[in-house]
Amino acid sequence: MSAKYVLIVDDDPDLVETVSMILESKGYEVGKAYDGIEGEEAIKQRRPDVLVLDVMMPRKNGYQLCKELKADPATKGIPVVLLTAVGEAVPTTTYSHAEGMAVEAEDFIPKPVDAATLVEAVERLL
Amino acid sequence: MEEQTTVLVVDDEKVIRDGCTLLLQPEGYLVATAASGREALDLMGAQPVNVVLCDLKMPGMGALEVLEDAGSLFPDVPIIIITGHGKVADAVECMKKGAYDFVTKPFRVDHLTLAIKRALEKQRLERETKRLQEEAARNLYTLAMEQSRMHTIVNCMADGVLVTNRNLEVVLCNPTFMQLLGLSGPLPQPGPLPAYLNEQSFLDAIGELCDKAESEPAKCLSQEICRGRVHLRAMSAPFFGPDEKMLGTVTVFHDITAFKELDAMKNEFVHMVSHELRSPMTAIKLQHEVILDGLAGEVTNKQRELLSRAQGKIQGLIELINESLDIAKIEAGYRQLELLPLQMGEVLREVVELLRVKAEDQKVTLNLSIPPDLPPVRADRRSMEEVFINLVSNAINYSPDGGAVAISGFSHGEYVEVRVADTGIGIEPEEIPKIFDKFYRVKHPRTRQIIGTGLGLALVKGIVDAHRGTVEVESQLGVGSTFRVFLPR
Repeated sequence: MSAKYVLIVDDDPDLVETVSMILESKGYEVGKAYDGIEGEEAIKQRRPDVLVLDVMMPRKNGYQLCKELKADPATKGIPVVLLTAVGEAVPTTTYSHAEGMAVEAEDFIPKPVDAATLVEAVERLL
Repeated sequence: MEEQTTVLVVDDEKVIRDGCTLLLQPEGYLVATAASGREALDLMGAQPVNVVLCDLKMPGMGALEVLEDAGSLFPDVPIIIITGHGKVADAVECMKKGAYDFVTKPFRVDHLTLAIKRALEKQRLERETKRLQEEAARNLYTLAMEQSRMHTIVNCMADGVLVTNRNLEVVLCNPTFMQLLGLSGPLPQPGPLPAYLNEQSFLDAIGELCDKAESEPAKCLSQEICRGRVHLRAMSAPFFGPDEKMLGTVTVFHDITAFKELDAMKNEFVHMVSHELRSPMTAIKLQHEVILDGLAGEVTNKQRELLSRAQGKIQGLIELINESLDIAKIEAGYRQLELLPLQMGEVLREVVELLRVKAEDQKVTLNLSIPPDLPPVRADRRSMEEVFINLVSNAINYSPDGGAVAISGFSHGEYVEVRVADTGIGIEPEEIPKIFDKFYRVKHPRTRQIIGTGLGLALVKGIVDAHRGTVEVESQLGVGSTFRVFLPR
């Protein structure tokens, strides 16, 4: 059986790099994308088994991408872990917690995250 | 004792002077005499005289001349003319000149005393009238001055003032009020309150003040009113007439927009900064983990030690960010408190469980004693956990090796008290008032190694205040500190 494919989308290349090192060390194959639009294209090219998605990103944010994926029957089944640095209860105009809840992501992890929590979340969704 | 009345008898005939003296003295009057008009006027200038009996015809200065001079010098002394029979026409002439009355010679004692009594009565009434007139004028003057002064004070105030009568009609407002509410006059006075300030919560509050003013002890209502971008603090109180009847209400409006804006800016700033810090912190933390896990190659022991310490520092920074966000949340009122009946015993057991490892690491014992019948409080579970995690971990941090932290619960009627007592280094008395301030940290050589944000206790106080509770601290240097949290049931 081939390795599971996890796609990580975050606008911080350091974070993408580190998370992929962690996941690769656990035997996953990792794809990288650096904003919502790139993430969308990466998904079209290869359907990930789990999508790790940052919220605040340029061009297309994580909420938006997640909403679109969940609205499309073809991509609805991809489990999504949202990573967010947005404080849970501070309403900001663009990234409200309520909106986060409404996008139907499978998991919601606040930043800063540690390796163990992240790996655990990915494993749970496979 | 009533002052004695002095009657001045003016006559050139000694017989008349003596006769009058003999008649009047037994009646209780003091009698002074003068043989001429000149002498009479001199005497009136030298001593108090209540009434004058004056002969009509005298050599030199006659009664007419006396009347003229006395009328201008002693206007309130009545003069009674004594006149011989058949000289009535002259006497009438004197009356025209201001004499009060006349008696004809030869006179009877009762006529004389009657005339004197009437004259005195007239004098008394005149003096009383004059006194009342003066008093009224003085009162009017004071009133006008008071009114003008009040008017100027009210119109010069930088705060808005609004006065209603008891029918909730506006009877007075100052220019600042009009300006704060963006009103352009003139509005009717008295006019309906909603025409001035149509804010339901305010109308309700004023209505309640009017309804309850006479039945309850007078109180001052304070509320915040938001009109567009203007935030006002309104202080309202009823006012009463001399008969204790409520006459209306006075409200003073203070503009707090600048404070509010500053506060919102501060919270927004804290939020932005926290967010911008949190993202890179995540990357740094994960990078360290990757290296420590050996994913980036072999790690020497020295490198591992340095990186572990760096990890500790990063954790401290992350806590600082989280706590400043929490404070911003509480202060901005974003944090929703779910006030449900909560067993503090349960919460405290969890907190102790969570901190047991930390306590063991620092060789501190945790003792929890909660009576099983401790009544529940109305509180938000997560917030309470935060409060006691902060207090207990502080207690652990500031305890020496082998120290003990006692967590206990007590019930005081409407309140439940939770006490966190340590056997730590204690707090200097002058530090105590400051420890709940944001970013305040006790400076002490022995606390230098303790990592903290200086926000923990500010957060504790913020949360307890939001629950309408109080937090107190008692401390003795070298003996320990006790934090008491009182929460309403």
